[in-house]
Amino acid sequence: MSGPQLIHAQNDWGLKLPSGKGENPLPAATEISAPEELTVLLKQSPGGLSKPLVQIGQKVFKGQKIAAPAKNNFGSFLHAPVSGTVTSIIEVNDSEHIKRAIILANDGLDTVHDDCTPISNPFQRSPQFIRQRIAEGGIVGLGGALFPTAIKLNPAPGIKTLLINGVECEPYINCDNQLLQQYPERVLSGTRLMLHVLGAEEAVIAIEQDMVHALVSMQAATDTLNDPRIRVVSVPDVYPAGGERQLIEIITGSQVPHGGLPADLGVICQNVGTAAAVDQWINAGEPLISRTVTVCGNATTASENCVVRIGTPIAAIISTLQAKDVSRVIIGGSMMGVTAHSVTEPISKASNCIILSNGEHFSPAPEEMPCIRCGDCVPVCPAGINPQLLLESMSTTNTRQSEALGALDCIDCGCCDYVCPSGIDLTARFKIAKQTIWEQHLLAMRAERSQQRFADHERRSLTASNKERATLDAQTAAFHDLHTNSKGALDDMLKRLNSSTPDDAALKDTPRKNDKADD
Amino acid sequence: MSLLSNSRAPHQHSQRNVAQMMRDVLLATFPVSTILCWTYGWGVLLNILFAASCCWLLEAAALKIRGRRLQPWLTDGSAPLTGVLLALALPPLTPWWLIAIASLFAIVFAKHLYGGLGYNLFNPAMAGYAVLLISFPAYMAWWPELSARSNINDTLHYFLYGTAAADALSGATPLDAIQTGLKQMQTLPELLANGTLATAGNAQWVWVNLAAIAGGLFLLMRRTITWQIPAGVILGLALSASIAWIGDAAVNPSPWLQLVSGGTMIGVFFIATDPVSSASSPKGKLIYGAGIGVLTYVIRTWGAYPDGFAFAVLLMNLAVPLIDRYTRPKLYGQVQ
Repeated sequence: MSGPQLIHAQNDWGLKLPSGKGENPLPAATEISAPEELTVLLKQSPGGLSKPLVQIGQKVFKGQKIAAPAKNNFGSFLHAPVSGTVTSIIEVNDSEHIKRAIILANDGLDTVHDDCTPISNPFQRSPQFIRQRIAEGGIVGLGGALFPTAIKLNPAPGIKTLLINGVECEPYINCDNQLLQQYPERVLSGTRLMLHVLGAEEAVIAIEQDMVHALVSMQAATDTLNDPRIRVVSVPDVYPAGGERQLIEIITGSQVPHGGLPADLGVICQNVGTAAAVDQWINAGEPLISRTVTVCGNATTASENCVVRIGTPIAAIISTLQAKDVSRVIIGGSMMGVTAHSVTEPISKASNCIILSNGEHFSPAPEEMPCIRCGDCVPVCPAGINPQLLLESMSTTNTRQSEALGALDCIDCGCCDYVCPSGIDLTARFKIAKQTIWEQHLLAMRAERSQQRFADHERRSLTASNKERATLDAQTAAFHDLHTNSKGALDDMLKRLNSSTPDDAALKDTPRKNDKADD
Repeated sequence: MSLLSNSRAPHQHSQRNVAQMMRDVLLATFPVSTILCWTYGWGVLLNILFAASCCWLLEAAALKIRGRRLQPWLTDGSAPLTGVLLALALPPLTPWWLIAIASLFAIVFAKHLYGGLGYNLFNPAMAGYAVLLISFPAYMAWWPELSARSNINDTLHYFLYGTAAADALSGATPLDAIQTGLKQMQTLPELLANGTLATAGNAQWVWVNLAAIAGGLFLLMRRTITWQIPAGVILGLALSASIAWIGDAAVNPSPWLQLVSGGTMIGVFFIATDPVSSASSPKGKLIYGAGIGVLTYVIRTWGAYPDGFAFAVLLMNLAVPLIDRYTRPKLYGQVQ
């Protein structure tokens, strides 16, 4: 038995952030009992929207599909996390607080829906079947992006490596760490299912160097399984080594081409939590209706991992854990987490961490000063941006420069912000820049489309008039022909008349003759 | 329950700020100021105190005139730092009005007319010093002879009236001595042998440079500056000097002499590393530094001024936008 191979990174970006993730083995996750009312968000990720499949007042079972992905969109199937009744469906995003959601009243019985059955002998089934099943289980990327797993498992052929991302590099978040320590076999089982779907040669499970207990348990489980396709590697504890493209760079030594996908390098990346969710659905018949959430912060006694049903309001977690003096809630880690507007906000499939703060938790940014061009932000950027030049470029309304400087390449990791001595909120500004650029692209696209429409219309009317003219010309020609012909005919007739006077005379005479005859 | 929802990611920051960086640099100048005071007398201290207060007052005035808040700008330490760096470039005996003119030019013209902290194209201290170099070359070349280190009264007299007391003798810095000697067709070995360099305090200047290096190492340790600019300047200057020195050691000072003569190391660690007016990417900083090194050598060797550091810095300040443009890191995925 050999230990996990340590990959030495070629990069020099990122930050060394104290995490304390390897200090002690993590205790088992606490189960948070389902609350009386759950809010299942219909839009759980920026790119995904689901459409309700249920009506108000309808009775639903635990694990029953209550929403399906909307068309042309990266939404997922949503399932009832509990059995109960649909009390309301909010479909209009009318404020920041009330989002599109299905509200369920829990009947407390947890009656399981008939669909929730394990698949026996999944490896005998076709990859297509398993992939379809994964889509129906509402499985999405649990690393935070919530990209539908089934879509990601259906790339162009030529995938060699399935990269299982267990690099939980952001401070405070511990749910993957806990999963790897407690249920490494679930991760392995999900990994094998995904290998089956992809037909890939190998799976690499990457874990951060300082997550020592996770590494030990994962290596032990891999040794027990003894699948030659699967190996465990450890990567340097640098933030954000767990970013998909950053991890691929560390593992493969090459970067995903600009504008390309990991599949271009023959790699597909999936989170360890996603692998476990695939296992849970295929082998245990439970769709993605709950997830592990790290609950920490100075308003709670200890950092712990909780298994929470999707749709549970944060307030329910706060009251279960008896957290006091919560004045700020951050959903996510300390680097990329979003401040919650209210404790009524529910847990979504993306909520990996909840930081409950009494207000004095973090080292605040210094008072904002102008950029002193120190350049500290340049080497830390994992996206290869010079944040300082990008910031400078944003002082004009011309977004082309910002785009050329990589505004759209920013991954919101916050490294530049962290080191900035002038306390400039670079990440937030870059988010706005990104939005502005997208909007301008959208406008440009619309303008192009309407220009295209106008051109098409012009062409059509031109074609029409051409046709018309052709018809007209043909008609004129025909008329002329006719005219000429008829003229000729007339002339002919006249000529004939003149030349055949006797006939005419005869003709003229005929009545006379007749008359005569009559006479 | 109401929540504070005004905070945006990241929620965690390093504990660095601009004022702390400026304080670090001020602190790091302490050894070199001390050595200069010890070598040249009270004039150095007088210059430092007067220039720093002058700059600070001018900063306040400029902010007032521009209708800006006085805070945090008056406590960020950048204006006094400009004054200190300016003073370190000046001869130990400088009349007060010259310091006032240089401060005015540094703070008002080079800094605030460009938009204040963070927006200046030129290094303010060097811009102020360059004005004096061009407009008052005689004053700038007048260094007191080391053996006649003047007392407080004489120093004050010169500071206030700009005229020397009877017993104050004119001296030169080692670089002056070399340039003058070479113009008089003397060779470097001769200058070394006849004690010209020793009179000019070459040994003392080695100490000044060592003290500057000590301060620089402190700044590197505190990560207030990065290694690229100092390394670039030293490499640029040393390489240019080496080429010439290997070519003809009789008329070209050795790289060592170039590096420890005059306040080279003060420039390397305190002047060239000014963040605002230097390049931003690591590679850009190296190029920026190397440019300063090479230009310093060029001006020292062929220019009319004995020390070209100030002009080298100002010229490279001009090149910063270009350097930044061409040393932009490759975006992720654009490298193959």
